Amino acid sequence: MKTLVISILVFFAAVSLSAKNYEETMRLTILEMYKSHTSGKLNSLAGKFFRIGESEQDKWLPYYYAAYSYVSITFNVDDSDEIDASLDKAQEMLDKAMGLAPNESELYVLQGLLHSMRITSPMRGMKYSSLSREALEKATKLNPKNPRIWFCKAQNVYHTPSMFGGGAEKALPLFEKADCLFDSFKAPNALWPSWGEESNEELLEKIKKEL
Amino acid sequence: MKISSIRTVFLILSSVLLIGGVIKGQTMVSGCVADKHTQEPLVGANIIIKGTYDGTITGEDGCFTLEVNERDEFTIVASFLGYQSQEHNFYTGEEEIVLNISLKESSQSLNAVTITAGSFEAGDKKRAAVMSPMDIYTTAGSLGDIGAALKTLPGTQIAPDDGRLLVRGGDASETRVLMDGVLASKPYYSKVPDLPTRGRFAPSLFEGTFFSTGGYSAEYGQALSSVLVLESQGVAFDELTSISLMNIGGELSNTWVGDDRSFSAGAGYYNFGPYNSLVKNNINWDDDVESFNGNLNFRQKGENGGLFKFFASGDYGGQSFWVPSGSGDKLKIDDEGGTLYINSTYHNALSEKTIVKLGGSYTYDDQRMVAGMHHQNTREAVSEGKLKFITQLSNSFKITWGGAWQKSDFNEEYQQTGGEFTWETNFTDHLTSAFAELEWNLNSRMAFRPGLRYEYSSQTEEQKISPRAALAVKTGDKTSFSLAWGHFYQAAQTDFLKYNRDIEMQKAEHFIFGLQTGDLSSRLFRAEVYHKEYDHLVTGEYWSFGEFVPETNNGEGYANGFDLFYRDKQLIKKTDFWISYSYIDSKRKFMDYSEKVVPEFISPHTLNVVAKHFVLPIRSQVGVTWSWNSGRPYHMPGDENFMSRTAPNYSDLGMNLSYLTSILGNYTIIHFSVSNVLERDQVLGYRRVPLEEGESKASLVTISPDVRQFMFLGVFISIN
Repeated sequence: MKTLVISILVFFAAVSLSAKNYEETMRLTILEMYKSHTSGKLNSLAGKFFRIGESEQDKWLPYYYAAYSYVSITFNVDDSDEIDASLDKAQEMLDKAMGLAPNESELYVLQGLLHSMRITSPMRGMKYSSLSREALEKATKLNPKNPRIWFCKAQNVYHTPSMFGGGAEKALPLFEKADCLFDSFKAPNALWPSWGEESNEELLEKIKKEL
Repeated sequence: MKISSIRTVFLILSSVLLIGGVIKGQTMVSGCVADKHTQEPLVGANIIIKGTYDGTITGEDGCFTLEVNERDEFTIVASFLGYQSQEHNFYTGEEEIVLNISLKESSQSLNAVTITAGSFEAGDKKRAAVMSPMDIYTTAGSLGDIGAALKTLPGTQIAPDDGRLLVRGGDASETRVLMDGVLASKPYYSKVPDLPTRGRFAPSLFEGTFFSTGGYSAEYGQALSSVLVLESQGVAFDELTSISLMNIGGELSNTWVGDDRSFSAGAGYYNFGPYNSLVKNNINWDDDVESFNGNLNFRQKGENGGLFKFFASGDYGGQSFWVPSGSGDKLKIDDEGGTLYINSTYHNALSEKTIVKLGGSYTYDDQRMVAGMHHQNTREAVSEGKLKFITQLSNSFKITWGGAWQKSDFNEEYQQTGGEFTWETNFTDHLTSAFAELEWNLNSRMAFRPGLRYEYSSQTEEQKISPRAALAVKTGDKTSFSLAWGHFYQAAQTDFLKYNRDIEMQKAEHFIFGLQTGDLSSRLFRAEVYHKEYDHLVTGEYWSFGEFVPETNNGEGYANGFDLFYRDKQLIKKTDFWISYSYIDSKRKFMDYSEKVVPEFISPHTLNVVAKHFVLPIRSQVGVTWSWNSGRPYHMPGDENFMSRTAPNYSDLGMNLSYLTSILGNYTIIHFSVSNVLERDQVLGYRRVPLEEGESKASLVTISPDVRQFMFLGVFISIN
């Protein structure tokens, strides 16, 4: 009897392995993505998210993560052409996600982050910092309690030279607000974006020490 | 126990077999993905096992290996952005499958072929773009003037004594300027002889420009040589106050932002007096250039992507200076006037496939000019209304059609000092036009654009039909060839019509063949050859009061030439440069020319080198522009052969420096520029002075830049 149960379990495990398991695949791929830092790895993960998106068709999260993977590539890249190429792909994925969920605050946060990553020279700063600000304002309208909005706003201010109205001191209250919101934020489901919390804490501590 | 163990083994085995039945062995699929046309590998293409999340992406060599743990049947999908996806079915238990895939570019893709013959685009995203909007600000020597920046592109004359665009053998009147597709009838400040003028519109108003040097779409007419289409910014989303302080004046503007709408207002004041008093001037100023301007801008987004735009600007200004009159005396030219311009457009989607664009513009211009004893007051009102539909019939067919109506009222009063002789003229012309153009994308590599334009002028009661056509073929990843041809008509300018209403439309025919390879982000090369035929050009005589009076449409001419353009952002680190060279062989018989010669505004060879270097540590951009052209022809009265002399070559080296900093936490750009760094004595050409009554010996006036060297210093502050 015991063996029958085992064999049935094994059978079902096999079936569920070969069948679609959206939740589980997404969960594992997301975990892997947060741990990855190389362009090669993130590119292939973006490809995987894209495949999930194409297969599911009505879910915005796979495209969102595909876009986020492409954006994260640029965290470790200096060449501005390479950055632009990756962000162009991210934008395509983000546009697909926006088509499925036009009123999702998280998508506008990512749009804001994407724009700010385009600032590769001071001359671009004026254009893309205001585009980023616009997207984050839209995200705030849709969900003011989204902590990632304030994390991105804080980062934008932090990375703006103090002579242009930025700097650590001005960014501090924003990081603090993000910190508060991260504590109280309840993700609607297990696959919800969760990035930003750790970096926010790290930056907050760093700034507090600096000031 | 034993039996049950055996049973356990058996059960486990059978379940493994059962699982095996689902997995059905492994299949290794491997191969490469390439562009169907160029056979170049596609890096990062997605290989998907249909209906599952499984798959991979292609590597640096465009190749992939994929394990398929699937049933007997499975489908592999290969997809890549900008390409048509492909599916391959397999019904096999084979262990290894080799699958090489060639993907076809989608005709909707950003990379699809674009017709580039004769056109230069400045835009952020457009494939055919050769300039970005920022280039207009950062090109040394352009001083924030759209026309001056475009003059560093091939096909244009440098013409520092004009300031307007002279394209491929055409004079300044042959270029038509449009804002959001609707006529801007006075795009330049009023022009006085020998002095350059500037564009009326600040480049910051626009997010893109489309500059055609010939062979343009049937949508545009009434231009023999060129159209310049300025695309204004959409809804602003940043509350912004900007202050500009310059050594020649100042501007102030503010933008208010609401939900899906924005409004801005600005005003400016310019006075060249303080500057002129500091530097040595080639012009003997009586009253320095002084002007006021103001503008309003409103934008409202509608539902379904609709957009309403309203723009109004007005200015008033004047100047007066002394020029040699030829007989040795000095003549005072006094010029004063104002212009009002209103432009409003609306576009919206009528259905999923059709967009309607509606636009109107109104220009009122009032200029008073006094030259010696001659007093002239010219008033012109020009309105245009335009309606356009764009329908995407299918993936490969797009049709654009519409019509426009233009009304021009012209009034001029002439008087001689003392009021002994007065003269007044009035006329009104209605110009009706209609056009239709088909854009046919045979595939992603070939596009064909035939069009037809109809024009009717009430003044001359002429009807003209102009066929146009363009073809583009993409031969490589970033290489395409374009051909363009068309007939172009233009009514004589109002300055001519005022003396003779029977002057008919002038005609030009363009043939263009071009090649473009590369793109704006790295390297771009462009070459074009063209042939242009002019017919029905205006001929006439200069009368004793110095004005040209047209008599017939017997003139004709031609222009042959080639243009080269090379832009590189990769060769030298943090440096962006372009080189443009134009050669033109053009002759025409028009105006008062006694024979068919090279007209006096044409230099056969023109070269521009523009370089910009970014110095990151000091947040500055240094720019250099070198413009050179061979001498223009001129006629020395008394010479046996008409227009047989050549003026010296012209060369100008300009430099600029833009420094990004902040004032009280606000973005600030400090811009400094100098023209003619080498302080050359520049001679642009010579102008014949018409004989005044009682004079027997005609003479020449040397045309030289108004200032030997111009220095500009400006501080631009953005507060938000």
